[in-house]
Order: sequence, then C-alpha cells, then structure tokens
Amino acid sequence: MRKLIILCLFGALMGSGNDSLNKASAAMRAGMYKEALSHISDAQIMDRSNPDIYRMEALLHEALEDFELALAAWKNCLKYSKDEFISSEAKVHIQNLSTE
Amino acid sequence: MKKLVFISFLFATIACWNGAAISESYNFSDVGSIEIIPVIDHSYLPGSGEMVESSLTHNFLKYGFNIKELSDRLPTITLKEGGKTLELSCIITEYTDSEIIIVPYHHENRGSTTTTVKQTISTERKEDQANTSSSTTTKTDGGAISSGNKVNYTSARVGIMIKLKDIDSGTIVWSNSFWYSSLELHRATETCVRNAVNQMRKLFQ
Repeated sequence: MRKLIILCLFGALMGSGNDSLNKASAAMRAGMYKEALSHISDAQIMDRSNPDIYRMEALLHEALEDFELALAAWKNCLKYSKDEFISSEAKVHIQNLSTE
Repeated sequence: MKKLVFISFLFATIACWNGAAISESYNFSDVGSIEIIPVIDHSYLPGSGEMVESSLTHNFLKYGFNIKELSDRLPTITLKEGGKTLELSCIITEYTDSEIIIVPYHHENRGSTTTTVKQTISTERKEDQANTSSSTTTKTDGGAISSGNKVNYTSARVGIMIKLKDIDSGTIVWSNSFWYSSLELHRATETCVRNAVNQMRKLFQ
C-alpha cells in the first residue's frame, strides 16, 4: 500500500512538470509537508498575491509547528484576501497564534 | 483625541472578536465545581462527541484544574469545596475531516522595458570640432497573465458551541462558539477546544 502511494506520488510529481502547486498539493495529500512547502515557495514566486497559496503555506507551517512562520503566512493571506470567509479564517488563526 | 479614537477602536474590535455572552450579575468566584455533560456526536462523524469530551477534560487538566471521572457520575472539575455547580454543555456545530479546498492561481508576467543607447563621437582636427551622435532604442514587453489549472487539497474544520449553566437556578451564565481549521482533524479539534477552555478558565481566576 505504501509503495503504491509512493508510486502515485512520484507519478504525480513527474507528470505535473513545472507546476509547483500541483506538486505541492500532491505532497500535501501524501503528508509530505516539508516537500509541499518547498513547492509552495516556487508557486509564490509566480503568484505573489494569491491568498489561497498563503493559506496553504500557513496550514503547512502550523502542521509542522512553525508557529511564527504560520503567523506571517496568515497575515499575508489576510492582506491579499478579498473573500470574507478566508479573511475570517485568517483572523481566527492570527488570534490563536498570537497567544501561542 | 487620537488616543481616544484608538482606545474606542480597540475596545470595539475586542468586543466584536470575542463574541462571548456572559451574565454580568453572576459571581463566578462562588462556583465550586463544573460538571461536563456528555457531548453528542456530530451527525457527520460517529465518535466525534467522545473526542471533543476527552479533549475538554484533557485541556482543563493541562491548565491545572482538578478533574474527577467517577464511573457513576459525569466528569467534574473541582474548583473549591462547596459553592455552586455549573453544567458545561458542548454542541459540535461542525466536524469536517476532509473539506476540499480549491486553489485558483495564475502566473503574472509583469513585462519589461529594455533601452539601448548607442553613442558615437567623431573629432575633426581641422576645425577643432567634435560631433556627437547618439541613438536610443526602447523595447517594451507588455507582459501577460496566464491562468493555470485549479489544484485542490483537503483540510479539516471543527466548530463547537459551549454553554455554562447554573444547575440550581437554571440560568445560562456564559456561552460562546469557537471554530478552527487545520490539515489534520485532531489538531483542529485540539486547538478549537483549547481556545474554549482558555477563555473559560479566565472566568474563574
């Protein structure tokens, strides 16, 4: 089963070419959070004002217990978000991480 | 004047943010114990009630409260001997273990401007004159925005609503709702409940 997951992940990683976000989401689904973060950094270079990418980054940092980096990512998410739901989510996380 | 505006804004923000409802006439220092009534499962996930209940007792314990879990009684937090008893009820308003998040994205090429300046100087000795000629070429690339495919991943979300009721009078003395999201369900549950317990413990300090 594990081999199958690794094979699927490898296929997904290879098949998506330069698409960093696809690689990041594949790594996230496999629980490889550190790898996902490195791909997200590449995606952010191409699209610096996407709140959804900052949200992904923040959730990954929180899962890895890098709370300061998560806080910075949520602040960027809030800065660029025009969606009320994402903004309120960012505020909840900022509030929580500020008291950590 | 500026200070006044800032303080008013700060109070308004805090008031809107916390959103807790509290009975101002109730004296929380008279409370001797809190009984946690069983948490009913969310319809989406059997066992969620037990997870939240365990997380409640775990977090109260973590914050230094004394908890008794006798087999014939509800889990009880003892604050002091005697005093009033509160009933803590918790409703799970949201328990999503894998919500699909779709991320739309685009690649923005901001373009570029290249300016080339060519300058030549020719000197004529006879007339002691120097001629300078220069030409400038500017090339502008307007850039482009290309949209990519959407990608998706899953995240968990937990929401709870907590009420504290005075058993003797039946008065609701405090209530608030909390929610949290995370990539993992257990983390979302833990953080959501921890925020609730953290706010409740301030009532008894």
